[in-house]
Amino acid sequence: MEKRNEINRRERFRRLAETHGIYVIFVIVACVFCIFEPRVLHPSQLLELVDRTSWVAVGAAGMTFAICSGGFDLSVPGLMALGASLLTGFLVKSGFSLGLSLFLMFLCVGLLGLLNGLLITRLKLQPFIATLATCLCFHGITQVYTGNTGTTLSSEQYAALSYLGRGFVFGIPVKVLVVLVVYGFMLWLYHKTSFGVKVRAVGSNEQAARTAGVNVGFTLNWVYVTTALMSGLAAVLYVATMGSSSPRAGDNFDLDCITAVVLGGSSLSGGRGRLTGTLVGALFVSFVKMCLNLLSAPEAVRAMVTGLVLILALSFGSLTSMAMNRGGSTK
Amino acid sequence: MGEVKLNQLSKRFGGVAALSDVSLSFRSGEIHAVVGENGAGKSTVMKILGGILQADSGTIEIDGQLVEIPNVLRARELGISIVCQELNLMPDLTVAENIFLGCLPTKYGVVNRREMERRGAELLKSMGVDIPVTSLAGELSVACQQMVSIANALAIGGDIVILDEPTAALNTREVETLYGIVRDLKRQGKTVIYVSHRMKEIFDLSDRISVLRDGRYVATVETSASSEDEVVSLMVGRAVMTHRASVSGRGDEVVMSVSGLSCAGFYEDISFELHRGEVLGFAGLMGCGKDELVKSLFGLYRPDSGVVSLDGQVILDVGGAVDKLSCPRSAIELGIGYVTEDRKGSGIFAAMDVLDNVLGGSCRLNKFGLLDDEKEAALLAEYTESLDIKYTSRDQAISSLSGGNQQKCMLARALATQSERVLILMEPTRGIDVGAKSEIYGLLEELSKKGMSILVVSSELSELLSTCHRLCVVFQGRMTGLLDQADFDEELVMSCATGQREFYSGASKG
Amino acid sequence: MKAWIKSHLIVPALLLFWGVLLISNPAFRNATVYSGILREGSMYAVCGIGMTFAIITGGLDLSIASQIALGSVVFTKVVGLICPGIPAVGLIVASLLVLVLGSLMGLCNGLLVTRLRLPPFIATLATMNLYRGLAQWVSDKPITLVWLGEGYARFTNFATAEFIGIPLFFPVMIVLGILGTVLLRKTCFGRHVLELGNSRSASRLAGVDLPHTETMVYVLTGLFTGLTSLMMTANLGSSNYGVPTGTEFTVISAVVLGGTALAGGSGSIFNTIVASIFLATISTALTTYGIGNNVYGIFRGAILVVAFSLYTLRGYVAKSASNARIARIVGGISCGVLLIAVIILGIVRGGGAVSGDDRPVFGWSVYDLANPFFIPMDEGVREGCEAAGVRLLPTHDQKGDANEMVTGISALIAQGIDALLVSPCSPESMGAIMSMAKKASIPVVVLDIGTGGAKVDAFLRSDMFGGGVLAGQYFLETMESGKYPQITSKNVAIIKCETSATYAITRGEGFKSAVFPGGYKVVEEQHGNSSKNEAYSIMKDYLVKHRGDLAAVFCENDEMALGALAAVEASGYGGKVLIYGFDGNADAKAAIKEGKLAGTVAQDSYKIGRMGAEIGAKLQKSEPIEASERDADGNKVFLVPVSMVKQEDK
Repeated sequence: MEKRNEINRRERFRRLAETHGIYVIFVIVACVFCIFEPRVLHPSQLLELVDRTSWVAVGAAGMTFAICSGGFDLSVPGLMALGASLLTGFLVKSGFSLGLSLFLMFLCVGLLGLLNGLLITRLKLQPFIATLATCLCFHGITQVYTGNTGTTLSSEQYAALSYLGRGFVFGIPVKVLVVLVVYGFMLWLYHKTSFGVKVRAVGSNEQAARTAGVNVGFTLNWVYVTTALMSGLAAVLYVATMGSSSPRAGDNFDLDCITAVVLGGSSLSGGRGRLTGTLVGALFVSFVKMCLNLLSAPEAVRAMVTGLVLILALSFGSLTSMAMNRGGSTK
Repeated sequence: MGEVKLNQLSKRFGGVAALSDVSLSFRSGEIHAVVGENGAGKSTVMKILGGILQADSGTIEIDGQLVEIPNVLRARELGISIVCQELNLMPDLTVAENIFLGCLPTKYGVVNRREMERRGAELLKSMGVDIPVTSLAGELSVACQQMVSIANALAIGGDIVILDEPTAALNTREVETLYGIVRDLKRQGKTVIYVSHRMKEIFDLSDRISVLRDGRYVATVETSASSEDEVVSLMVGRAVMTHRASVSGRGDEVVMSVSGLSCAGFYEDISFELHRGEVLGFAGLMGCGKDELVKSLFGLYRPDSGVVSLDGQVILDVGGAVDKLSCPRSAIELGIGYVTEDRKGSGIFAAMDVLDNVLGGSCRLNKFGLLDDEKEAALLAEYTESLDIKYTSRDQAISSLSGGNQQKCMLARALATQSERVLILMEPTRGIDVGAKSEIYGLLEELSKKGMSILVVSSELSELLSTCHRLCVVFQGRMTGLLDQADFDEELVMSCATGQREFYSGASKG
Repeated sequence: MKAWIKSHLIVPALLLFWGVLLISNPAFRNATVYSGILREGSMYAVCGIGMTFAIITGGLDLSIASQIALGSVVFTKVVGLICPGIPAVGLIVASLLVLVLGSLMGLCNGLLVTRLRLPPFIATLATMNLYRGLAQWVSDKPITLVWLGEGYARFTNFATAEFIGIPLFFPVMIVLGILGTVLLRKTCFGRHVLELGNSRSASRLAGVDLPHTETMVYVLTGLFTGLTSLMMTANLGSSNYGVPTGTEFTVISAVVLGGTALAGGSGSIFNTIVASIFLATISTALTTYGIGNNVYGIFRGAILVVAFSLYTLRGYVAKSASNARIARIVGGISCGVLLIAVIILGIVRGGGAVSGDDRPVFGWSVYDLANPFFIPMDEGVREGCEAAGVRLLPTHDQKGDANEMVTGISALIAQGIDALLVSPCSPESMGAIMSMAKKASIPVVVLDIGTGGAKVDAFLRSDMFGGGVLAGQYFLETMESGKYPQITSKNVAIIKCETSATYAITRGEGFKSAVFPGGYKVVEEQHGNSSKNEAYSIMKDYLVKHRGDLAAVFCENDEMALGALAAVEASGYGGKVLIYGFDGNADAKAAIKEGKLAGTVAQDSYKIGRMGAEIGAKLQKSEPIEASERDADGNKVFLVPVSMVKQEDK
């Protein structure tokens, strides 16, 4: 590997485009859609956007950590579906109080996250594979536990959660505040705690981190527990919004989360996580879907547009550097 | 405090014995140099002491107590810190974070960033180094990264500090800074173990010198009572000979000419000519730009300006938009062969067999894209014979060959992919035992006699002096010396390489 | 020899597995079961051949399911348009077109990876969406080949034919496998692929044309996917755009189980093929044990973990001799446990005829047990069979996969059933099913969904269209009753199920037809894909778009209705927009009781199942059955009424 004396100016620009490109793309796409449907940029609609994206945003925050550590967590859809089902199950079937149900659900989900971590640190499975496998297992467990149906909360059971799901504080939906608090917490965790430093260290150069004395296995385990807990929180937000759970709650959750993280500019090889970028990425995906809804686009068009816009956003970095690249930069 | 005894350490990697019954002792508070050629086992011993590797057998005593060092954490607890040859930094973390990783100043898990940065700045200042603590480690120059690695070792505050080839990337001024740091450590009563094969530094700094050779302990001498020649002969095990490459076969015809080649951040205004049958070497300190320069001739780096011609034809003219050197493939098509310095990482195809490794890239022999077993086997046999490559069968996995034989396969591959024009060798004998080294030198000589023009880049000066016809010296990206064989002198080269002077042999400039 | 076995461990594994099944599972003593396995395995294997190349280079292609869907749709659409008089020409041209299309899709993937430097996982995830959208755009209704004419039907029959019990797909797959292996081992390109996977940097320095090689790998994957698409279309006799997204993981599992490392560098097409058959065996075995969707997921997960652990284990073993011994012991014990488990399952669950039981045996294959609608139907079938003195084999779950439907039913028939009850996820494939059934001389009763134009022995359905009408009429009544004076809008909206949900298609139509005479206009009709989330978002957007000017929203199933309800309440429109659902599941009924949901259409799927079993029993005894009506294909149709669950109900 060639070690450089300084980073080439072009390379720097490319990195900037990669990490901040999403902002540019978002603005461009928003303008385009605005021409067709001006309501899209109305402040209440934008608040609605954040509200709607809340559980994906939370899940993606956890996923950013996992990716930042150099790994992956594909089991989040399973965890979310399971979390939602457990929460409603505890409330309805077992009749526990809200506090106890939440506690038990987070406990279960956290332990499953630990399972993910152990598979990766002890059995040395690749994160991609391990979490893929556990996702299938978690889905299976959800289906067995729920008998494959959702569970609806009765009014009293829902009452406590309804404030979370549908309440407002000074005109701002509670969910939006929750998202902000979560991101604030994650940013603090990432930048200010030794845990955050260690996660970045492991993602940046695992071998070096080990040599420096970081307990890599311990750190990674906690990363996956964090991701799992975030999925659990996402499940809580989901149940609070819908008033019910569904074994299909996790559908597309992993795709949405990973897309948000990648769009946000976090490096897939680890070490460079961009939490704010992830949030913007999550909003972007939701935004595109919302615009397509408001435009009443037929299903076929929707899938195609989603795919195309995604490709565009993902390759923004490469495309701009290609355009700038009239032949030369270091390879 | 800080007294270390290593008894009968042995370590095998696969089938190769890296260490055999090595016993060393380090006195408290001394600067002790450990020297040896490449592959002597110096790094392995240090890694065992540092907790990165575990010995197969043998014991370690610290301050008279038998200890086990199963991992890095334990080594740190015992007060041992090591700065490895391969910089173990995390490029995405800041300098301060890199320095204190492993001993972060925290309160209930929260990092006291201000404290960390303050102490980091202090530490760097006391080392005499000026690096902003908040910059990302990945954006620093190699020399700065080295300093950060050293700071990381010092931050732990242990009594035993191991430095493995710390000056590889440093220029003169930076080396002076390092000297200051080392001497300061001794003043503090710490034990410094200094691994290097640079005689000057060893004799400048150390109190005692231990020599390892081929994984075994040879001897320990008091620095003041010894001399460079004595140490070198202990290292090599034989009298040092000054060998010079024979000049027969070297023609006057210019095969490749480079003029005004520059690449921002790496090298500037390089010009030279390569003649038929000539071996042209490139010398310089690590990070001086010689690697990038030569690699540009294989399409791995893109110059910003300059002209390169091959056999009279312009193959690269940045200003005039001729670009036939855009990637390794095009370079190979032009007839330029290449042997990488990173045999393991970007040289061999570890899971494939000998035949595929040697002939895999080119497929010159094959019609319609189908592999022609017979023709390939015949060609392989030719190379096997001419290069004397030792293996049992051509279906054997290349990973089971010795380092030397693997390198010969790489050489065969470079020869197979092109037609007798220019061959580029990067660190041709890295990681190869002494016997194989001389075989490779012999091969180089044969090839040059047959008319092959060769560019050699090496960090071993003696190697360059004994195999090349001319030597180009690079310092901080500029050419500071171009020596004919008659002017070859180690000290002269070193002074060009460290920027102290410039020297061009009379007839050979340009 | 020993070395060969060591690097092809999957072969003895497969043989051992078959041996154990032969002993413990009566169904596996019937040769037809193996035909089914070979046929299913061959299809996945062909796809796996292409995927092996991609995985060797360290990449992968997640878009193959969508590629298969698009290929299938294009094939069926084009085949009828070209030279309608000469089927052979149309077939050849359409096949070539599909292959070209597959290669183009692969090229697109390859370019994204090599030119735009997108990681393969991400790039193919994005194209997966793109291709699926294209497939839906080309044709959102499945096309049955048999309808197009005799020549096309013959193609289907030929493609699915068997010679001495071996399906045609098998030798086709073998030939393709040999071609693939030759490509990998005996050509420059193949060597470059291996080198690329082994060490990217070394390949570059050795002069391998990286972008070209890597792109070609994806083109190859696309080409083989095209072939798979042809095979699957022929197998079903219709287009198959509802290919479930699990397909790519099955194929990837096959490649990795066969020993190709996901990190790249080594690979064996032979192993991939054998592993595909291994996975097909597992899936068939699970069918015979009646293990449903729930547990299947856990199984698949466990298989993946095992497959990859095996790979990591190899590295662990290589480190020292004592490690090797431990690994052997652990491996031996786990294999032993696995085999004992299989044997016990066989004894406990049984499959196929048990001696001493003279009752007739029925087979029952259902759309998707994950969908709550089918659970009472399943109950009804079981209890109906019990009452009619019929032994019922464990329920076969199609999991919404057309291929699974065909393969599973052929496995059921192979077990020697006397009659077949089926609720098909792919009605257009009933033609293929019927020919199998005719060969075995067994009557077929279709429960709900549709017959796809085939001639079946009896067809029971609940009135989807009529149910929609009921909902519409109930809505009109509610409006007239003055219960909601605040609702003055004349707009209504519909939220549809996914386009591949064949059973739900006419529900919305029924609602539309009922409300139109009342002066109401349908202003929105989007797809909620049976997802609560999506219906929630869509509903919110409906409300914004029309500024709340909606009187009612009809959702084609209850899941979506509950999602829409949540959206209505969250936006503060509770009581101002009426939500209707369809299905009659427990959650919806509870919501109606609480006065939140306006109503739902309850299907009596239990009744459908029960009646179906009874009718099946009569047919099997050759007793006459009287139907209330006949459909356009002359089938006897039994209508099972639906009912409106109203707020006024107790």
